[in-house]
Amino acid sequence: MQISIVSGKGGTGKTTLATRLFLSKGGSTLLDCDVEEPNAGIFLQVSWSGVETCNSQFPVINEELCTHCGVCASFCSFNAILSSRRATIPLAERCHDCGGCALVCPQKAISYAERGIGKIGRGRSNGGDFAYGSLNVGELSGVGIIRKLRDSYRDGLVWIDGPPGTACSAVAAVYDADFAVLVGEPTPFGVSDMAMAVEMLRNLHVPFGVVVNKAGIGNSEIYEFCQKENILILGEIPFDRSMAAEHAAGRVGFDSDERNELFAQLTGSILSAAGYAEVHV
Amino acid sequence: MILAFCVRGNDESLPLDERFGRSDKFCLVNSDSGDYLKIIANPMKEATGSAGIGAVQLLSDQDVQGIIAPHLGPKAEDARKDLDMKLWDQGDCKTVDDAFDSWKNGDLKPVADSDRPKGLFRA
Repeated sequence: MQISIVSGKGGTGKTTLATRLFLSKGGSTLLDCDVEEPNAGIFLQVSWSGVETCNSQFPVINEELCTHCGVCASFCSFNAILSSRRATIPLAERCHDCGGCALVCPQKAISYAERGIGKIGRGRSNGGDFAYGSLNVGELSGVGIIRKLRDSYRDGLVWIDGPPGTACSAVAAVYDADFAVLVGEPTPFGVSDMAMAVEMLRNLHVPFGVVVNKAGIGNSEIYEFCQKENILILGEIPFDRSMAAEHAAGRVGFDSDERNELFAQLTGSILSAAGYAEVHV
Repeated sequence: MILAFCVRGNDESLPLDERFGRSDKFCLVNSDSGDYLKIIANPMKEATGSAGIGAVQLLSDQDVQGIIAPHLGPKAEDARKDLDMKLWDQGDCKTVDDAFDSWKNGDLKPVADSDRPKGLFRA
């Protein structure tokens, strides 16, 4: 089962929650899919097995077959192919690897080559697997890395620490997930961005519930919003300055019975809402 | 050759736009005959990205060989070089007439291939 943790607004506490869920459930898997800024590993003890390059494909034009008809360029939604009567020029960095240009080329003049766009690091932590993706600086899209990460961990309980926002990478992190946890912040900006994440999840037909992090700050807008939209609130994490202080020191902060109990309960609520059934082999 | 100028708004005086990739419209002029051929809307104005590259492609499709524009970003600059289009900096000119006259007099600064593109840095 894959459970994605998303938020809309950045900084609401996805990684905070994702790492604690992972630690609460020994033997589960955590994938850090915030590939532009993977930071979950900072809070974990990981024994690393290795790092591998992640590639994306881009079109290569066979000049002997190309008639410069321009069909590939007009097809491309990303302006990744320039065409004139004398030249057809693929722009590798703009290519989003959809494979469409080769399909539409009437001369079958297009093939694909690979280039590195980032890396994936893999290891073990807390009795389970931990992996992160990291997008190279300057690259436009982390989608390929996120897909590769998710495809390589399909068994058992998999937590996905998603990117902020609701753009392509966030969609790649929740697409086809079994359940999503929306980490909400009880502030006006938090609610406004959360509304966009709700729209994204509904469009993708991913069942979800909300966890209110930093509960106690801001206002009551988030509760009103969830009630109006009939959204399940799975639990709350009260605002606690000492937790923020611990994060700043790179610690997860599992250091009090109260906190351990809070996260154990939250984990239980989430797994129950997700319909997770432990399979004992 | 066919020249393209970046135009803003609907005024008859054809005031120049300050942007290339997200320019409101382009005015195409036949530099040999002096005829103002047409004004085309720029769909790249609302593009989510690569507006400059899209604009270069748009002009190339219209057989434009020379662009008079404000600064081009690095991607648009590469694109126009790849498609063999010449570029002149519109400088302080205010309308298409100004810029075309300046171009005819050789007063517009050509952007050489070696010049580093500056762009508008308005992202």
